[in-house]
Amino acid sequence: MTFEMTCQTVPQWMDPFLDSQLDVATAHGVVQHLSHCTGCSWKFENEEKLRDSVRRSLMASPKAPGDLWGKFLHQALHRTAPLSLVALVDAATRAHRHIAEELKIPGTSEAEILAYYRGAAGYLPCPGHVGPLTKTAGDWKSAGVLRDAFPGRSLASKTYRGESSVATQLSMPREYVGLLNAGELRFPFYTFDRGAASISVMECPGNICLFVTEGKETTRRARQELYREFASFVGTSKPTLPENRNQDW
Amino acid sequence: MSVELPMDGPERARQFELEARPLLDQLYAIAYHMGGQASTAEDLVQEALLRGLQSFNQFEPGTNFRAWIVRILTNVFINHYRRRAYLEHLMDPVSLPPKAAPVERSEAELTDISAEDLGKNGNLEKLRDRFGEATVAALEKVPQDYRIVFLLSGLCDMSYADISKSLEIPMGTVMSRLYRARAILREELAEFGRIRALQAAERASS
Repeated sequence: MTFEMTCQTVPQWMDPFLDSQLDVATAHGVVQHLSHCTGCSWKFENEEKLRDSVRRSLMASPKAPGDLWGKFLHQALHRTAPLSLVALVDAATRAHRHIAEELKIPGTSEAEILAYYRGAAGYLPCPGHVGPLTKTAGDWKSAGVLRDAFPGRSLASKTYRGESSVATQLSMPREYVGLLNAGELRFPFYTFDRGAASISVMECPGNICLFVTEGKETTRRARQELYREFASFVGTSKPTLPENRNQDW
Repeated sequence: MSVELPMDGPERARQFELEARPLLDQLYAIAYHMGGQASTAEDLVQEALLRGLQSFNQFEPGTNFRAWIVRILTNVFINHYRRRAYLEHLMDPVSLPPKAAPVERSEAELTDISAEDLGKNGNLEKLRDRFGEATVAALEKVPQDYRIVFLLSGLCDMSYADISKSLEIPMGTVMSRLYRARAILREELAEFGRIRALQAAERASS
């Protein structure tokens, strides 16, 4: 059945028509009327344009604060995984006890990083973890390629509960690949270990964190060597050293 | 020891970021207009993103992600809105129906662009900016209960039936609130309609 619409009756259908909420028969009636009535057709068109402009304006303003995504990640990490992340830091320290018991992150103090992973920092210092290599490493997906370079191996992970170790070492002696289980999320990490020092790269949804583990006996030369090897490993040509931060060690 | 596919979790998170991050401004704008406050908007968006990330495995790739995440944001907001309405109701046992705000005209702001200047690019730009500002200001004049219905329909693309169900109000109320909200916006933005008509007349005569 088709409704016979007139200039008097059609306006009442304007809202539901433009909202696509009319049943087929009524909508058809509206279309019929509009097709031969320029006056009503103009009104409908005008209303539609106004709606489009309003929608566009409202969608465009206000803009999200610049750090909103970072805040979300921060929350996501804390909501899903604070304990696992605390464990990561602790395990990284334990795993390198042959080096030293200190964990060192360029740009971020140990106290800060521990506070962050324990949910007490109140901010997202991730970008601060990323050492100078980010500037030269280009596309960090290369680190992902590294993991895929060993297709025959199981990349093992352990759900993190208390004392379990963070990763299972693969048969490669000096590199390990692992996944940190963090509630809903799993973060792959990669550790490039050169004995005197190691570099770990961990991915979370928005960032790649790079932290360096060094010991008291790590010499500048050893660190330089580590950076050089790691940089060439991830396909960069110009490794840079961080500021000389541990001269007093 | 559990052995897992290495890329699954992070890959999912990465996919989520690819989909959600470009929509951040839009989601924030919707949340802002709903809650009317920057801090509320941030909380709503963060909550929606968290829920989205946690249930991202239920999202069917290839379908409309925007619709999916806006739906989550809407649910988050409706819960928040209901909770607040309930609390307000508890504190104020005599809850009066909301009155439409008095409509204020802002003609003075607009009359300094003459019809013949409209064709110039800079002025169009200016006009667009002003329209944007005026729209946000106009929306603030729409009473909260009407505004919610308007936003759910106009920005979140919800059907009348869904709005009625979500807010637990009759369909007729949805339609009348929507009508009132639009009437206020139309009235507030009437000046721009007139400018556009002038503009069209200019174009036609040149």
